Amino acid sequence: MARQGNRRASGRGFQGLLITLALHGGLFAAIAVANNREQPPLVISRDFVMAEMVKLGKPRDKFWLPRITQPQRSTAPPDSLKVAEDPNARAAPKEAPRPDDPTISKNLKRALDRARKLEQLAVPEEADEGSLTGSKLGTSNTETGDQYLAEVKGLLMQNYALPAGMAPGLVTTPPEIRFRLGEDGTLSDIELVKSSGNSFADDACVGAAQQTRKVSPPPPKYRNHGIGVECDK
Amino acid sequence: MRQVAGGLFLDGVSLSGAALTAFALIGSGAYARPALAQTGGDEDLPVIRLSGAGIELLRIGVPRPEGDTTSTVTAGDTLSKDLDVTGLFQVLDPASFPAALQSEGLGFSSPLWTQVGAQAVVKMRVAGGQIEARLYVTARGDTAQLSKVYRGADVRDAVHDFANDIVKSFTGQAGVFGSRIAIAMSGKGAHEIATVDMDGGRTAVVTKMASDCLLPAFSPGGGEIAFTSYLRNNPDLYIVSAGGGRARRVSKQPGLNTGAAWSPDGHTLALTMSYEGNAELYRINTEGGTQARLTSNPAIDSSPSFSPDGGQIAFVSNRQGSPQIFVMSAGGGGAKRVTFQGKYNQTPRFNPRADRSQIAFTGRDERGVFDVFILDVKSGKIDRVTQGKGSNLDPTWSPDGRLIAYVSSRGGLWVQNPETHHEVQIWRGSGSSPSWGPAPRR
Repeated sequence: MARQGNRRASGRGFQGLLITLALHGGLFAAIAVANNREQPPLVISRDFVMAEMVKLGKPRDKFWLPRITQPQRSTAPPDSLKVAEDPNARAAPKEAPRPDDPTISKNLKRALDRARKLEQLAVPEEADEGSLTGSKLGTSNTETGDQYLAEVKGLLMQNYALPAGMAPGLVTTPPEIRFRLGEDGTLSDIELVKSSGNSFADDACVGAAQQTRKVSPPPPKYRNHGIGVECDK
Repeated sequence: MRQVAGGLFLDGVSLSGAALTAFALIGSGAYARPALAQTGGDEDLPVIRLSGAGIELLRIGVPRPEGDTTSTVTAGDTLSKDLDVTGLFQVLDPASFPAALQSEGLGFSSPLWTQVGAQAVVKMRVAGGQIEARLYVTARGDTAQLSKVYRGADVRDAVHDFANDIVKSFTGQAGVFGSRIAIAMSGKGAHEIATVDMDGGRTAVVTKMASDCLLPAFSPGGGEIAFTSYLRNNPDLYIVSAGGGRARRVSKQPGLNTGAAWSPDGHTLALTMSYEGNAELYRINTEGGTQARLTSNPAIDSSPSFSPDGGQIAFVSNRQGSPQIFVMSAGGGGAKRVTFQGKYNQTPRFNPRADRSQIAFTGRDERGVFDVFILDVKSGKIDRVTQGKGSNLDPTWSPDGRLIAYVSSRGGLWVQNPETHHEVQIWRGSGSSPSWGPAPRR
């Protein structure tokens, strides 16, 4: 009887082992399938800084006809032009002070005085128009989200231009690019990761990053970090 | 069930800790790999979305065509001018092309043209009254995007056809080369009505009335031009064939018979008449019979323009003080003011494109300068077309609604693409009130 009970127990143990093996096998197969399945790209939603540039000046009369305001074209940050700068170079010798020439300095003084008076008399052809609460540099009135990426977006936008007259139907899906941000803010490894099917739209997207070339040095979290860009119309 | 180290034992079925963790991961969906793993990255990928792209002109190369010397010069010049007038292209200076590119023939090397900054290149071979033409896009390799032979009575006509196809390949809509603009030409003598090719290439005087002829209006079919003439010492309305010939008088009421606009079907004309004492808008048929009085107001109503569907008429009225643009039903009535900026707005012209709902007009700004503006009728928003370049007035739309022609105090007739603000002087003569005729038949 006891031998029969032992035999039954060992049979149940063997069955359990088989079920365990089958369950593990099934589980690892499920993991393998899940990992090989195509996943949608993970897009991190970020609220960029919403800034409004408000020029200081008298507001334009709303009953006047509008004027054309030219959009400002971008330029690379000034430090990107210092390609040949040598940090170990000797400082330029200071110019020896020249002896005062009373005649020249008197004439110069007179000329400067005259220029100053003329400047005061001159009426600007066109009064600055803007907002009475604005500033000469513009005012940022809202700040939410990632300020650095907002700055990058602003610079890219200045270089993002599509050919004129391109029919809207010619671009069905927006192209996407990627680039990497170097420690000094240089854009590198610019690549088209998703084509729109229209070479001009693709070129415009890649061109926005290529022409921007360099942005401000990124904060640590974006150093040598990939940035994706989707270029809609 | 009993707990064992690192796992669970369930009635003979054991699950290891690793397996349990795997179960938990699958259940929570946390197994999903970050997007960068797909593209070879190693961190979260912030995505910046750009929208509201700026607009740039497409850089296009027009190397000297091959073939007969005189015709090749005409063909090259005509095509360069055509592409410039569209306001879509920046025609590259041929002087910047290396000799290898000038002697390439109809063939094409994409890398070489990319080096000179060209995004597209057009090539022509002119021989025996026909043009063999190619369009290449550098980003699409060395295969021609357009390869066709064009024939025309004149080499310029053949080039215009090629230019229209080039525009179509980039915009999806053919160009309007070959169309003409009627203008009241002023010279040493009386004003006469003339037509000017839209590239300014040919000018033809249509009337020879030796009296002031003003305010021309091309018929929708392009066969006729309505205008006002003082031939019989009264501003009467006449219609003349666009090719010239004897003009017929269609309205000779005492007083004004001026500023005619054709209905889109070409059967009727709206115009200003004053035979009832005040300047009002009327609608007449093209044979001269009065059909309807459209306005009845003590103010002056003038300068009508039909909407593309023929259902509305834009006009100028000073009924609320200063001259402003109004829109009313084409049958008269329901007049509604549509401009509220500026104190002196006139010469409204509906965009012929039904999907645009735009009116171009001349406005006098706060400095007293006349310039061209575009009103979006639905939103009421006004955009400025010209600025800081003298006075610019009397706008007229191209038949495809993409371009605007106007006269300027700088002299002559100018064409601008309002999307790009690229403007070109197409004609150096002196004139007023241009009216752009329809696109040529193909």
